This record gives sequence, structure tokens and C-alpha cells, in this order.
Amino acid sequence: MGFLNDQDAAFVRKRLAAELEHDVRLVFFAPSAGGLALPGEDWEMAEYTRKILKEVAELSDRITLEEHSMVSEPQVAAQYGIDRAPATAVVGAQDYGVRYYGMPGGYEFVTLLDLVIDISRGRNGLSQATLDTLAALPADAHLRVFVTPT
Amino acid sequence: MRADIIEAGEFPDLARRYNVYAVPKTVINETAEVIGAVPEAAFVGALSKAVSPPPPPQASE
Repeated sequence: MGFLNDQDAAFVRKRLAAELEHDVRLVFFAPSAGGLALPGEDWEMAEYTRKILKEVAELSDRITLEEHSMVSEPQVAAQYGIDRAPATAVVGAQDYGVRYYGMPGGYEFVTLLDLVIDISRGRNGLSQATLDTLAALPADAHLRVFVTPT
Repeated sequence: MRADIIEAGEFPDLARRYNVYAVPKTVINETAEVIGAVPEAAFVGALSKAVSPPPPPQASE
């Protein structure tokens, strides 16, 4: 373990064991390794991201990490609607359309953990009023939520 | 619906394109934005407004 210390890893393992329902796939896309670097393609950040995801996957049998390359598997990235990396699709019994771009470090690790659990359970914690409004939306929506790890 | 969580520091081009000066900031369909962690009802209100059809265009002829 590198990202989580033993105590944190034990806590996360226990939480995942208690709360996961369906299997979850962390579908990770790495940018090009070395050579040409495009804006947003920081290979080191991508490698840290991959390691964090790997640690999470090792903490529960219900979580698997799938590793892909944006460069050699553009058609797989397109299937997930992903056009830049590092990117992670978090997929449960269904693909709910949630993607994480960048490294879920710092406090954002909790975001990732909560996301994995919610997607595993297919729950969202929204009120009935919100669900009614969403069901009645006249058009599709694309949300981009900008965050920082601190 | 799609939801992207984006680390602003790692994607400065996106942060610039959407004028991200503070986080969290949510951009809805390129056009609308919600700054900060707002109550659920306020967020849904902004979302609903953003995806509602625009008023019908004026007849051009």
C-alpha cells in the first residue's frame, strides 16, 4: 500500500465490505506514456491515479480495475464518452454516466469512495421532489463539476 | 444525464474555458453554472432552468 496507510486501508476495507451491493468496475484510461504530451496529459498524475484506483480495488472483491490507454484504445474511450485522460468511469450494475477526470487524491478520495459506494448500491440520496423534477426534465444534461483535492 | 468530476488543476484548459476561479463549480450544458456547494433544491432549480427549452424564435419572414 502506498496511498493509504494501514489504518486508513483497514477503515476503507471495512466500509466497502459493509456497504457495497453490486460489483463496481473502475474503468481507467491513461494518457499517452512518454513522448507527446497534450494539455491535461500529465503522465505522473495519471500513474498516481492508477495506483490509488488499484489500492481501492484491492480492498474489496466487488471492485475491479480495468486499465485502458487513450492512445491504443480510442474506440473503448469513445464507448465511455471519454476524450481526455487520466479519466475513470465508475460503473455498477448500470453505467450511470459518472466520470472522474484527474487524480482523486486528498479530500477528493472521499468523493471517490462515496461515489463507488453509491454506484454499487444504485442509490443517490436525493429527495423525492428532486427525483420528480429530474424525471420531468425536457432535455438531457451534462454536468461538469470542478473540484480541487485540497 | 452525464456527470463529470474534473480536477481543475489537472485540466487547466477546461478550467479556463469555463472560468473556474473557485471550487466547487458546476457547469451545466456549457451554458449555466452553479458556484459553491448549494442546497439540493437550488441546484435542481438551476439544472431545470438550464435544460428548459428557450423561448420560440421570432419569425424571420
